[in-house]
Amino acid sequence: MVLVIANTTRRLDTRYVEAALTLGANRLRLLWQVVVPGILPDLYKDLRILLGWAWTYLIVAELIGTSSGITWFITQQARYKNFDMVFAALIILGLIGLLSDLLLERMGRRLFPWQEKRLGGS
Amino acid sequence: MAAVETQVQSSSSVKLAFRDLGKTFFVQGEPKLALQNINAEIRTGEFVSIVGASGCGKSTLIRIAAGLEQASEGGVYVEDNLVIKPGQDRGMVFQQFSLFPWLTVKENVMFGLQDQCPDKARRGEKALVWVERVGLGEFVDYYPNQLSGGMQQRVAIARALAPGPKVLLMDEPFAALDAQTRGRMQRHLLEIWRNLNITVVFITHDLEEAVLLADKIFVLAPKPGRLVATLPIDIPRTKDDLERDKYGPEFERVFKELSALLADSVPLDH
Repeated sequence: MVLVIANTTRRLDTRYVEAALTLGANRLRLLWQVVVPGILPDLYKDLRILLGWAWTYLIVAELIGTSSGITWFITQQARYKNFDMVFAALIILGLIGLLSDLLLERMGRRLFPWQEKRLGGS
Repeated sequence: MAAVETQVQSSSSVKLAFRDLGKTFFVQGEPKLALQNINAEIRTGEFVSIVGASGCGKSTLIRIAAGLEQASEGGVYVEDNLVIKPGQDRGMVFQQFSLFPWLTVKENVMFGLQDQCPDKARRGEKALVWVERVGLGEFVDYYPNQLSGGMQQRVAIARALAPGPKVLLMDEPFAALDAQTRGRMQRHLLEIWRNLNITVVFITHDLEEAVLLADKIFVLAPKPGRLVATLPIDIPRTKDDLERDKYGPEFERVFKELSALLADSVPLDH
């Protein structure tokens, strides 16, 4: 996760930093008023992706470990060869993942309204 | 409307000077001479354009003036003070995408005023004056992504000028705009320049633009970047004491002279 954040920070357009410097910004102002707000949207996207990984790890862990929950249900149903139930459960898992990401994306748009491109005139 | 503070100087004093300026980059361990022995002076209130073929180092030169890069030899002097780092005394307008996208138009312009004006409300008022001055009063609370290229550049200009710099540095500011918008912006810039009597250094690869706007043109040749000619432009600014007639015979003559100077500036073998 540290790598991801470091990379996102590195990718911040240097022009923002340079513009801020020419406007008299010192190190502290650069950090808090330029770098942090600058990387926030990309950081948020990174977190959404990381959430996907976490979700995957969770399912894998459950498959190995538990005796309750959806993954347990899947292994049980597979054992009884009720593959239609297996697929139903898989679809539910997928839907949960998709919906949570959609929700985060919607939230992201509210958090970062400046990302929308709309022409106002010329 | 509050007057913008500018330095009261006699028009013959030197505002910005390049003295024995050289810059060497290291590309994969090999030294590459980008600029060599640049000596030039710009007087207070002058509009100077720097032109040259791609790779002649004009961007590097203006970035050193802005303090974003360091010279290897010599330096840039603003009112006889050596430039070592970026500062508000030299406002800079980049070609594009330099506005802070997470701030509105007004907030972008307010950014540079934080030191001078700790009170947020006052800062907002001052910024508003500048936003209206560049004709974007209706768009104060818009985000940069919602504006066209021309509007964004107007905000960039307002933002750079709001803190009251001594020099305005512009790195091909209109290159990314369509021809019509560029024409309007050029006119707009001349008005601002005249009203503030500010010193402008304007980089462009568009010769017509240079002849249209500048009092004086520095011609740079590439490999290594050298100043090969200084061309004063004497064509009268007939339109409202600002613009020149692009289609007049004098313009054509100067344009041809400038084109010839550029064609002659061949890279030296090094």
